[in-house]
Amino acid sequence: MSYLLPAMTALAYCVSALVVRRCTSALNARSAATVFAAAISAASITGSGVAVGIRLPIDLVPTEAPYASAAIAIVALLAASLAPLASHSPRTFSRIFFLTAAAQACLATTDPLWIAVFWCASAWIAWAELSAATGAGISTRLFGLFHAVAGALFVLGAGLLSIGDSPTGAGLLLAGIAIRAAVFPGHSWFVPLLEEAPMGIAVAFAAPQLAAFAWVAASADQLPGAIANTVAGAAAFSALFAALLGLAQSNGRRAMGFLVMSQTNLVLTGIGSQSAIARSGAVFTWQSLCVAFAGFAMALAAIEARRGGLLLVAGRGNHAATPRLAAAVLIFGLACVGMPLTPGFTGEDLLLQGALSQGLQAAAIVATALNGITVLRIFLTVFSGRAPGTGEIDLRPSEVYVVGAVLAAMLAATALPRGLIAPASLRRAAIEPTGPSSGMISGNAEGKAKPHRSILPLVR
Amino acid sequence: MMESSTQWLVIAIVALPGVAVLALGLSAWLRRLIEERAINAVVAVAFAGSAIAAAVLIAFTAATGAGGVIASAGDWFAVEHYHFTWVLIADRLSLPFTLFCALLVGLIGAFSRRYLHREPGYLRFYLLLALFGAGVELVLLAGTLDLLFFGWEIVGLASAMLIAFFNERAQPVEHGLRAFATYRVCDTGLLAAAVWLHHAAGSSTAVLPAPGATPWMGFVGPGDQFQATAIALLLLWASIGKSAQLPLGGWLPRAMEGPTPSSAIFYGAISIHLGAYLLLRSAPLLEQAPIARLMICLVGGATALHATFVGRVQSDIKSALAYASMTQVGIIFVEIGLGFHHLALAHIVGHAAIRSLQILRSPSLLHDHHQLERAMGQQLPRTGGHIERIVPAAIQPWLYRHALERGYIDALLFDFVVRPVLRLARELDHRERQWTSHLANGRARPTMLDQRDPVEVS
Repeated sequence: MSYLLPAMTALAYCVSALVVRRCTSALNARSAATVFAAAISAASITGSGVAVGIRLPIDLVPTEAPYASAAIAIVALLAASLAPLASHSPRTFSRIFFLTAAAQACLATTDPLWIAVFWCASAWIAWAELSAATGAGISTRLFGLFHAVAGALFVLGAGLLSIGDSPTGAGLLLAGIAIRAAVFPGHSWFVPLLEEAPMGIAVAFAAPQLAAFAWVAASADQLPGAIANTVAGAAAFSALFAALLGLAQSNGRRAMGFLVMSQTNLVLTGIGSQSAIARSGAVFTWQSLCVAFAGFAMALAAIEARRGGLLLVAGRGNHAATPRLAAAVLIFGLACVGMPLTPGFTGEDLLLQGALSQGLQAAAIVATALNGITVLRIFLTVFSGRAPGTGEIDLRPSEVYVVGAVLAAMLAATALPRGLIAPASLRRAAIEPTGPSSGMISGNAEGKAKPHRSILPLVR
Repeated sequence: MMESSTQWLVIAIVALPGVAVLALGLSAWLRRLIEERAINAVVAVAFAGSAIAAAVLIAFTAATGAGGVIASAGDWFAVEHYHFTWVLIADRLSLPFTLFCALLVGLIGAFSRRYLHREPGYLRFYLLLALFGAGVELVLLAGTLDLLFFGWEIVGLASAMLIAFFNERAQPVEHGLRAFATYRVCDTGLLAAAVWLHHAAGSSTAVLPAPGATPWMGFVGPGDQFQATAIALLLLWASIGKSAQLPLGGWLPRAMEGPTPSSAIFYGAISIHLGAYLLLRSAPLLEQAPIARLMICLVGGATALHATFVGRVQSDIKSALAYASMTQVGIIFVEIGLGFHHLALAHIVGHAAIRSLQILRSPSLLHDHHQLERAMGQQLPRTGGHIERIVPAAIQPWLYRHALERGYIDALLFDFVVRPVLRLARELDHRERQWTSHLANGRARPTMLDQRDPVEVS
């Protein structure tokens, strides 16, 4: 099965990437990329709205995550428009678009081979940019090492599943997904990527969370419940681990890296929770985190470009000089951790209410609480003080329009979250919940989940 | 028709402050130069409208003898058996509070017009004040624990942002972060209680009281007493953070770094009492959990004793008032634990009114004392003589030292909780860096071990 809107969007990003690459300066490239990304985002949001509102004879968007394509388009818009010129060449802007195209292409298909191709392509594009930007630095080596393993495991797992070796194939597939989603102990590439890569590239690669999509696409009838539970448990531990480490950082990029790693792992916890409510919450959180993370990271990159560093030491900022930038950091940051008045609240509420294990719920609650502290700590330290003569400027007009439009879209998603939640007919396809009582998840006699129809049948 | 009108009035109590937040937020984003008078007008109209709606509802319930009005805006979102519903309850518990809070926010808004005149963050202050007011009204009217949590978090965020309002100085920022960290840690209790209640009882919606039981609607626990006790203790944990009870009350005197008007309304009047309000709304649940009620009495009693001694040795008026607030809220906790719900309700309103007035007048303390002394023709008499009579002379020096050090509670918390957690986090970070360096062929990366604590507790 394939979906038209992400496919068309992917094609549009490829064409745009080729055009942007021909720009003679980073400034021109950013302007062109912003215009292209804005146009594609508007078309994608409109298309997703049409697909949700009108029943068409063709499959326009993935039904369980109808706004995922639009969310990824918004990620590209934020990454392009807020990218600092010093660290983003025309080639970098081009790669941001190619990464987005690969993510959109993943959404467009349910064929495991094509998903594997796009999965590996996006990793290769990010690795190429890392190599160009940092040489053979730590982030490049770790990225290459972990993603070579993750890609190989995913391809092998999908291959074994397609020939009917379910337990081994599922295990390999989930191992690949776990590394790509930065689940402990396969997480070591994630924070160095956010620390050292050009922020636009880091965002375009990490924000779409292709691992979460791959798990949703794989669906639970292919994956034994015991293995899924193990990965969900590991993801919950990783969320807690990363949230704790986020408190200990004095570098803004690194703190943000652990924060996002923690929240990404919560998404995986929800998907693996084997409950329709948690799964809906995880998919919702995936889409909202996608946009919030992009906005948070790019706003911090803008501050970093103005200041020359992002140390979390109080007294080096000037809130009065950069009020819009401060507002963007705060709102996107709070949206990352699911504070009320942001769309993340809906997702995390569903995720917590649906998780059937008290251990997973406790880990998620504590991780979210710690992440909230990290967000406010980043905000308060970065914007405190009245540093004289730094010449820090607020958001540029084009950035104001882009960030304002994205914040308005987030407000709309907060007020009317129902459209972003998968329809009931599809939710029933997920594993049936065992009821409202608490307790540990258990599979059937063979240690497998109850069979059901695949939502996006990765392996038929 | 009448029923529909009253339901709209209930919704208006929350919606009007919400509209004010939107309007002020939009103007802040667009950076339109709005006159201070216009900012004031937005806040004043919103909270005057809120107060009028609450007053009309009080008159309506008094005239008709109705227990209250329930307004439901339906499901916000729903999946399977889980529904997040907007249910607002305007009853004998919430209505006096909503009226009082709307009036107080409006008054503080009017007072701040002169106090913050030409302050660079004028619009930001009123935006956060309106956000706080909207959050409080939501907490007060919430008919489900989920909705209460929604408002609860907004109140916490607005509180921390206002403590850190003067962000050009390091201390307010540090203290704002400390208050927020305390809130977040304690809010885990409220969230866990809501989740547990859903799983154990199927819903977290407040229900009508049984005849002869609590006088208002409230949250009810599951039949199992163990689970009811656990949920009640989680709610107590949430209340401890918001109401600055032992052992987590150390953020309260530091919270006075914010502008005086916001200190008055947050820590003298409204925010500090929200923990007690949560316990009052959970009265039916507490009836099922005698152990939790005992714990409430113990926490409240210990806080009252601790705060009354510590407050008496403070050398600045705002800290003294902060500890005085803690003392009274501790006593209110004891009243709730003992089941004196109406007494607690009256105590909250009375204390909130007098304390907010005292904090608002605190910058003029010397002036007020001079006026009093001129009027009396003599020095003001000493207070606290009864403490000297009650406490044996041998213990007094020890007690004085204990009070000066604020019971060593902050130091103990830092040494035995915060520092070990941060040390663990830094150690894990160090190992993480070593591991990534090892994987990347032994390239060295700087460690964090020699750096200061990121969450410094002063």
